[in-house]
Amino acid sequence: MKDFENVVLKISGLHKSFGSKHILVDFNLELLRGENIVVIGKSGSGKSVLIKCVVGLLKPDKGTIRVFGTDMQSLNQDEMDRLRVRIGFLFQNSALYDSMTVRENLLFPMRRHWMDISRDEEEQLVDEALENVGLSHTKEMMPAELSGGMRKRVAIARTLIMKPELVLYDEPTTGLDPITGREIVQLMLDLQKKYHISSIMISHDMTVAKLTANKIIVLYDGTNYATGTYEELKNSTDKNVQQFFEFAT
Amino acid sequence: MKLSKEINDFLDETGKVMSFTIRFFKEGFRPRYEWHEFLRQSYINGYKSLPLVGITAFIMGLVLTVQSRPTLAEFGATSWLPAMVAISIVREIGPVITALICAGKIGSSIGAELGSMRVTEQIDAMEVSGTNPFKYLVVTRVFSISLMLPILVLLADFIAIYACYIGVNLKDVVSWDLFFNKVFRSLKFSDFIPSVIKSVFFGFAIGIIGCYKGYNSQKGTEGVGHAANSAVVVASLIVFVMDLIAVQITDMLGLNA
Repeated sequence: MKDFENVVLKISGLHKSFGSKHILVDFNLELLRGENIVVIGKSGSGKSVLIKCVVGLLKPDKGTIRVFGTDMQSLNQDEMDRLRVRIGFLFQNSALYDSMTVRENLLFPMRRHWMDISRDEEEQLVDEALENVGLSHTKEMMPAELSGGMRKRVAIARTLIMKPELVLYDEPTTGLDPITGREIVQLMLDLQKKYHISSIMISHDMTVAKLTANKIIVLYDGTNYATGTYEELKNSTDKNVQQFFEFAT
Repeated sequence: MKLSKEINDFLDETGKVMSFTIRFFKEGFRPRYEWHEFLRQSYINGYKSLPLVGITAFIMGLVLTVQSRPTLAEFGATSWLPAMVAISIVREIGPVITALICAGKIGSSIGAELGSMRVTEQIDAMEVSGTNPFKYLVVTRVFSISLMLPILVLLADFIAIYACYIGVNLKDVVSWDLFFNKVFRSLKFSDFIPSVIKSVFFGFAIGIIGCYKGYNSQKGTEGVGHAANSAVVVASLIVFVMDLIAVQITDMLGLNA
């Protein structure tokens, strides 16, 4: 069905603990090009910790994370920064820079990594990114002037402006009403198709998982407890898997 | 038991501040240099602090003159007033008061700003976008305050001396020329240089403490408040300790004569 060419991300035997609390225990994952994996799990199960390890915000205790074939732990700071340009990260609360306008938020990563592009090209890319998320009119607004849904859209625009090959979404619909949540999910899917992006999405919303996932991983007790498509997991008889489907629509 | 825990916590915190400072020196002199953010911070920390520093310096100079006059008058030494006030301001009161004002204004604002950026994941967002947040947020702020504080101190000194001129003229009639002649005859370069040097250190301490508290802020909004508050308290205390050390050094070098 899908033309998955190669492995974008491979996580093997990942362990992460905070003090005596084991968050991830021997977690494994393989993401192929163009694929979208949704990781579901209860609050505090380590979903966010997982993607923070992938992007290097947290250091794993054990195990390997290979992104585009490169072992993340072997990189120095400069190499890590260069690799991060190819990875997008959408934060749960958008994490827009409060002291900058929407335009400056979008320009920020660009000016750091694409130094050879002209001011006109920069403006063009900002306009295109805001047009993609339907917020061209907010260019000179401050993040505090935007609604939750608008902030999320701007955050998506900022994430995608660098044309990442892999995007990590941390609960993209949390805190949004169901209609706006659905719009955001549709927007993400459209942009993923447009730019051929692979992604990992963290969620506990099965509706989102149903709409977006090629594959779902259930994170339970720190490990990948179950893996499969939405239908496969829905038909599972395991009660730890079934509990996620109880309130799904 | 409780005392030993407090000592442990204090030493632990001191160690963390030291390693934060070492990181500052490691990152601060290595490209890439964030000039644009440095200039923006210098504008905020320097130019925007000028009204508050200026008003305080003016009041300080005027009050010191008015308060000192009766005592000097008892000894018939009112002609020494400009020299006495000028030396007090340049050597001691100017740097310390300006540093304390900046610890309150700039230290708290950095603590709160970085603290809020930490708890809303803006610092993480910067990091995942391939930008070194330490360089962008900490290095620029610490350098800008270290540079701006001595400039603010010099401006505060001149404003306070001008206020002294007004203070002297409230009771006596002293010409501008005579006043400044008396002031600059009493002042030497060796009064200004230690004052400027210690202001650089005061600025550095305010910047490092404010950034450390904000950058390592935790526990949501409560953490932000705590970061802002402790940035002011700790920075103010360090300013006094540094001043005590600076006085000992200038005394040993014979610069207080």
